[in-house]
Amino acid sequence: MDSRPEAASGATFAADPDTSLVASCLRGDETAWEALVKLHTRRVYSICFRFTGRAEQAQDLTQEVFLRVFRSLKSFDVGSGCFRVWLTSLTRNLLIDHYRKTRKEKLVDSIEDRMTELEQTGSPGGRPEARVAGREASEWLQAGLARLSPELREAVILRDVEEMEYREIAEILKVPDGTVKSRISRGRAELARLLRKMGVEV
Amino acid sequence: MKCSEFEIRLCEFLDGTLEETSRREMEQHASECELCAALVADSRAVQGFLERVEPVEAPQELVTSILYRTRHARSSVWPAIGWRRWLQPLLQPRFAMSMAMTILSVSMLYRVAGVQIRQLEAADLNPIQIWHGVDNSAHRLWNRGVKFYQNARFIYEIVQQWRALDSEEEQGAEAAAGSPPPEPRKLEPSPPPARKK
Repeated sequence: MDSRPEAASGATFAADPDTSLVASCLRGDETAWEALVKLHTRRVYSICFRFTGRAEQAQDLTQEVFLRVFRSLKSFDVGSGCFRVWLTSLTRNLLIDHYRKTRKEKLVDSIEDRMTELEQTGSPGGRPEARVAGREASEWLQAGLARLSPELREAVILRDVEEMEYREIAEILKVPDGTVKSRISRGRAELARLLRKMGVEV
Repeated sequence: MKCSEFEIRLCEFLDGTLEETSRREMEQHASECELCAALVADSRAVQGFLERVEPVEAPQELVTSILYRTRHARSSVWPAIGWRRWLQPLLQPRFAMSMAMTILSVSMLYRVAGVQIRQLEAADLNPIQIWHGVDNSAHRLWNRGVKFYQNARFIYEIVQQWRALDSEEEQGAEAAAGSPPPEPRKLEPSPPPARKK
């Protein structure tokens, strides 16, 4: 789990501002660690929340991610890696572990419940013609993502929600660039289909 | 162009980063393949939808709890601040509780004994203040000792002088009564033994 991603293309991220913070952290600087946590909490939480669809789970997972980062920071090679990619990789691995553990349990039920609930409240007479936005759109997106397979879900989240580079995503998912792009395209199409099915105009 | 290849290159096509010839090929394929044309439309639609989605904000207390939890894991992880490990037992609730009980009982004893203790202020806990306090009382104690010694010496001198005067008067009276004048060495008052200056 704590194995860091292969930093083959990592050398190009040498000018990463996180690098100096990580170096300070390793020297025992508490304020640097605080800064690092503040800088990345939103991102990690956002990925966890979009992936799991539940605020409490996302919070627990975010805390777990940072505990792991804290414990394995020494294994992060400051010289040849992008901290953001390393962190996202750690987050993703934890999410997949979590997904495997909870797959057969309540997660599926809760998604089903939520879907029916949203379908009922959202579209009483078939399709709402309103263009949803903001918080409402966020909730619909959540419902849509929950129905995507985890493979497509993580690809769409990393690209379209977190706006990461294809090669970064490839590094995180440990698959070739082409596979990443193919998953993103299929994920988007699938998401569009799901949203329309729920009566959301896309 | 195969549909699987179209699927892969679609990302860059939508990003607008494809070169001219590739872009034309894509457009050509989309005009011929219904499924791939739908793929383009769906992807564009989702991208538009995602732009309207409110970004996720982390709860404010999340950073605090992360920092709290990592602070507890710190001593075992970063040896640079290993001295905290030695302080750890003192920071335990058990220790804090017994410390509080000790202070309480001592203060109660003082109260019973009638010792007046001024209200402790935050400024009193300043190490500089404490040092000043100790320094001050040490100086006062020393000065008191010096003063006591000097007073004792002064009184001793007065007593000596007094005795000397007394004996002088006595001898004067005897001389007046007809006795031979006293020898000069006897008239001279003996110097006080304590005087060394």
